[in-house]
Amino acid sequence: MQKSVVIKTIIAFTIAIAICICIILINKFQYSIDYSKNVRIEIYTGKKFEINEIKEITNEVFKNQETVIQKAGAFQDGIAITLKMIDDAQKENLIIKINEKYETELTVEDIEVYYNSNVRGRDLIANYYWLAGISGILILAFFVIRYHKLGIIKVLGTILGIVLLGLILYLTLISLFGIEVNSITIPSMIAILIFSFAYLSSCYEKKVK
Amino acid sequence: MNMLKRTAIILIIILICFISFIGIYQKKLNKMENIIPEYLLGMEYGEKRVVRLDVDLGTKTIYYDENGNEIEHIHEDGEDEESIISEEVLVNKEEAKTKENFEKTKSILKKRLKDMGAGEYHIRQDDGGNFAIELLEDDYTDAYIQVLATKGTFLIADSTTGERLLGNNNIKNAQMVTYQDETGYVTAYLVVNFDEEGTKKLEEISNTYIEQTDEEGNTTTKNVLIMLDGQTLLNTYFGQTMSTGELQIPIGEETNSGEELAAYMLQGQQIATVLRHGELPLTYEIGYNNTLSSSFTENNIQVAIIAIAIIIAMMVIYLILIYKVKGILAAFTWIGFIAVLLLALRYANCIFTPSCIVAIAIVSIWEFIFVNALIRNKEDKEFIKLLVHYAIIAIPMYIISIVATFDTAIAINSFGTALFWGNTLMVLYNLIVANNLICEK
Repeated sequence: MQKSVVIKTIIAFTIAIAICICIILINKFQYSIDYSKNVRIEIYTGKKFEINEIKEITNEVFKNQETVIQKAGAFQDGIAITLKMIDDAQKENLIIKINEKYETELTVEDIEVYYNSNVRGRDLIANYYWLAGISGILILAFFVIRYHKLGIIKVLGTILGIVLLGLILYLTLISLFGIEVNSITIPSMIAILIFSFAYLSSCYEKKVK
Repeated sequence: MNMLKRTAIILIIILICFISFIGIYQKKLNKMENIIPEYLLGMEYGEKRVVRLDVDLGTKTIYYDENGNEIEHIHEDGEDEESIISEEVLVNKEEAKTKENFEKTKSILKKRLKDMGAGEYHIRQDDGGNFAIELLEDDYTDAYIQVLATKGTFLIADSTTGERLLGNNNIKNAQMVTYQDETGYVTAYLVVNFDEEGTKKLEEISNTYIEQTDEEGNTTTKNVLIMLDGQTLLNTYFGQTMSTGELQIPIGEETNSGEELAAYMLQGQQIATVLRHGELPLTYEIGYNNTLSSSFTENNIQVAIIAIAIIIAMMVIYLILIYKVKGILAAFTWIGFIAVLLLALRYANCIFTPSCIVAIAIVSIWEFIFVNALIRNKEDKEFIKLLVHYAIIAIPMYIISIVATFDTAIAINSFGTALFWGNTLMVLYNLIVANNLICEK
């Protein structure tokens, strides 16, 4: 009876993971503008400006497109706008609006355009290999030493299952709902693991006692 | 007595909250200045440098001796220019622009950045092998960029003929050392260690390139040039046989100024870093180098503060609605913890990054859960027992935090620092505050 439950659990677990992986492969990940392929344009007006003022202009020119506005240059006198793409009409429109706002006589040729490739996902993860490896081993060691009375294989199986399922579910949700991968994606994943470990440990503590 | 103690603790918490969230202001030069350390900001919230390394598409002249061996072109008086054959070639041969070389370049760039201690960066690589690198803007950013843009071709060449004697392939390691003489003056040296083959070659060179005295007593020297990317680091001859495979190259002059020495050490460290990780397979030129501000505006910060305040307020309301008077005490305890943590992180020089903020959120939630458990302590566990229970189940969190603090990447390090201090403070803070404020004695 118990054996059949274990087998059923493993089968259900495997199917769930396979479905999640399929969803991730089909939907893929949406990267935030900071990490995806983008275009950065820079315009030097020689005048002081506020990011909010430029944001108003870009909202009008680029409508629904996500834009990141920064100040560029050693004297912070350049307007840097990062966005996914820009066409000639938008460039012209942008220059007209900036000339109106700052009383300048800039032309489209004054716009410096830089095409940036994406930051590779594997480069983002690579930084976390050591953290995952070393802390993973130490955490497993902690669980095995502290809760060995509950059965080493059971404890190891549960913890590995939770880690695997937690990560896959998290990534599936990100992929399924098109949540952008950004600088808090991996730390949030670690947060989920931390709380899972704490919950598991709390349950085991009760059982041990 | 208990009431008095509680009132005192609440007053102290309010004071800490004021210090942490608002600051302590003192008049300095007719300006009010906060004496509490500023938050150190990471690349996302502070300034960053964007540098573009483009594959050099230009041409260069290479020189051959009469035997067809490629040599360094040394402009010396009396040089037999006619015997030198020159040829104009592309700086980067077309066949060298391969995916493998682009990947190798990226790998070397990453190693150089890590070695130099650049904690936060992103590398973007396009199909043509050009790189756009974003770095946290700090005092060393220019040094990082110099290291990135250096091809790293190390060479010991005959100073007269330009014959190439020893190169990158035989370098095993490179490091900086300092020597202090009796007068207190210090000289910085770049120490280059060679492999077995390099050691033999260096020994041979050190026996050949020496000072010689002829029968009439005239001394002449046969010199070598020690070069990096065609720039001469040293023009010298050897006074003794170099049999250890260790070559010491003085960087700068001897000095007793700490500032000068630091500059020489940085210069040498840059060269050592380049030598340690080998030369780039391609030559790059800096196509763009500019500072970009954070995209966060005052407006964004205000919105973020309001959002956080609303979340905290909701949690406080929850505590008060569920636990009434004890909920108020729990709310004080919890907000006080956040205030103490933020204060501690500023003194711990924790760099605020998105991952650091996630870590702060984790420990804040953890403390919230603990405070809840403390009030709901139906099993009538003693405070210490409950604290120990929570400390035990937080061990995996502690492990992650300690491992992360050893990482050089700022995003991971700041995450670990915030988590570590959060956990440590939680135990101490609850022993002092929660124990006296929430627990019935």
